[in-house]
Amino acid sequence: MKNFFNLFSLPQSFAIDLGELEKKYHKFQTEFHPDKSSSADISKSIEINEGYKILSDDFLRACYILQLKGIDILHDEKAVKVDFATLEEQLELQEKISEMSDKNEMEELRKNLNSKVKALVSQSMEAQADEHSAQLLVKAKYLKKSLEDLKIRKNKI
Amino acid sequence: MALLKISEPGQSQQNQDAVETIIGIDLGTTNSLVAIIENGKARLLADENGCDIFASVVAYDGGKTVISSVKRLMGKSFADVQFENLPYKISSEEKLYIVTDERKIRPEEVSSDILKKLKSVAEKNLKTEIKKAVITVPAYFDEAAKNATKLAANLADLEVVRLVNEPTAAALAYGLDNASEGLYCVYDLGGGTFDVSILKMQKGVFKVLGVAGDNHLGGDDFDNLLKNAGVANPRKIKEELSFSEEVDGVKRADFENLISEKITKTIMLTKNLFEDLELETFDIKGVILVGGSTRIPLVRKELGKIFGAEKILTNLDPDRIVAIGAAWQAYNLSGQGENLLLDVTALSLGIEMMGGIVDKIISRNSTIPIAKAKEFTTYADNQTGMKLHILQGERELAKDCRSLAHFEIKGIPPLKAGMARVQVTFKLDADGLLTVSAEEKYTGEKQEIMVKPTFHLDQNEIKKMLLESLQNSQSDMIERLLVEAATEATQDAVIIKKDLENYLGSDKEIIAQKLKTLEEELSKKTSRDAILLAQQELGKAAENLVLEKVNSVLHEKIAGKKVDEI
Repeated sequence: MKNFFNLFSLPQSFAIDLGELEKKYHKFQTEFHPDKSSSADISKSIEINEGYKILSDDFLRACYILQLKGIDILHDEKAVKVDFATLEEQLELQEKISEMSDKNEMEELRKNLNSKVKALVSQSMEAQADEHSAQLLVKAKYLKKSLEDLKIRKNKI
Repeated sequence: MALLKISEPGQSQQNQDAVETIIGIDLGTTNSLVAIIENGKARLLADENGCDIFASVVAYDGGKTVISSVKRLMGKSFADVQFENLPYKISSEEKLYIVTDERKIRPEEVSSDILKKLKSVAEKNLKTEIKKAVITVPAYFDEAAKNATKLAANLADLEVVRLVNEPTAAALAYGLDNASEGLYCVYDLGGGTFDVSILKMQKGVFKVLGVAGDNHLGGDDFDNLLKNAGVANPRKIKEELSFSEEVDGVKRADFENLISEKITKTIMLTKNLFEDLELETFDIKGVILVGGSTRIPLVRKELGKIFGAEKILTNLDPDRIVAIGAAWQAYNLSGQGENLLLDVTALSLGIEMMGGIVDKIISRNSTIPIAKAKEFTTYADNQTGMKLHILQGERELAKDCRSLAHFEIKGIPPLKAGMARVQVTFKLDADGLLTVSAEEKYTGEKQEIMVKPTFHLDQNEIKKMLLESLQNSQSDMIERLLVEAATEATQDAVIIKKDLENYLGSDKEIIAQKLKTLEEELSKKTSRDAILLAQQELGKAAENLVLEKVNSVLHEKIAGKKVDEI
């Protein structure tokens, strides 16, 4: 598997210099983007875009760090065993969203879920054991799904 | 005295390419413009009357029929637009034609006639032949509409170097003119389409963070609303209402009531985009207005409410800014500019799964170029084929999304269910155009298609149109065209030859004969017309063969089989 941290010459850690990442991203694309490169091969530009997308997003970067350690919570459903309480909580949240109709309430929930996701991601990166990190990230993944549901619900009203 | 130019061996070709002028074209619903960069400055090209904005209108039947707003039909099928308020008749065939008293015209032909006009304006101004263009399209144009635009350009003998999203072009023009840095929002309400996008400008890099829109919302709708309310000459009244409170008995307030629902929709799409990108409106340094409809005071008032009136940049020319941006991008692509545009795809792409659900492979607002792979497996023992239904759009169900193509994977080795692994890759290039490829991991067998929407023109029709348009133009690119024609014809010959092997129809002999004629022409390679003719003849002769192929695909579609069922 390619390592995007190496691609951007960054240390393989959650805390990276995002300004530095962006600077390198621009530098690389100025060389490899199809608008700039005379080569018909666009794969390098694609790789740089993908790497930047993952590394520049806190949640995706956290997932990627675990993926490099062999735990792929984004693509492998069985990567982490999820406890019953988490699942129950998630189901309740989904039900709540499907019945919501008040715009202010929905906005409140959106903000609330966003900050929860943020907190879970940073907690997961402070956790000692990888399994623990993965569990926290899966929770964040569920909440992100709920945020999507919330958006759909909001547009339906 | 001419300066001596010293170049590295092998670089001379590149330098020659670098000086070729690429024009920037804004191909709008209502108006079209063409521009270039000259001595570091954008210049709009005008005709002999000094006019630099050209109505996107073409007259046919000796001037008896005038066709306008054809952009609304680009890449559309009859079903897509049958309920629309169009100023001309369209045929009810699946392939959409505009019907006049004397003929049937494809939207691409009308569009290409507009492009021919722009090309000739450029050629007269620059006194040189123009072969290449950057053309802007609404960010919300789907694959079919983008492909139709490219085809229109080909018919006008223009190579499209890049399709650029209109709001992105506008941002480029504004950013370069003002040396802007930071986050900007582009609100683009044109004659037929609405786009809103958010960009980050930073030291010559213009990165689109996201875009939203509606490719069926624009000034034409406002005209229709006025017309339905009994107002004669709606466009003129609408335009004048931007500057007076009352025109010919129509009050501005009444007009605003009529269009308020549409404007509210654009505001909602704008707000949603901020939410999607987790940005706040106060992060924005300025709002760039594009499209004539942004002159409507209600639009500016509503935007002022969410951004603050001081953020609305009113000193720009909303009719010309897109063409100027197109010219800058053309300049970049000719190797002269220093700027980099990083754009996104506005629409998600996915595959239909069991139960008609869409599995998204590439999500909207991904930076292009991009490639995403997904693995599928077989559903039944010894299953050797798989069919993929490729879709574009945000809705969850396939029936609500735009169907782009059906892609059949053959030759999977007969294995137990779930053993074969087929990796399907979606690739979007820098124009946002899609290629789908599949690889069977067990055998390493690969297949690839460029996605063309199912109701799009077939190859023979495109060639016929090309041939017609080329007969009318007097270009000296015979050699290049010959090579191109031969390359394409060779591909056709190879495919038909292969299909013919297992074909049992009574017309097998005649197809073989026509194939032989084409192969002979291809080996001679002296006359492009002879090659095209032989290719057309082969196409005609092989109609049943092709039909049989299509029918077998359709049959499976009707039978409702899904990805892993065949």
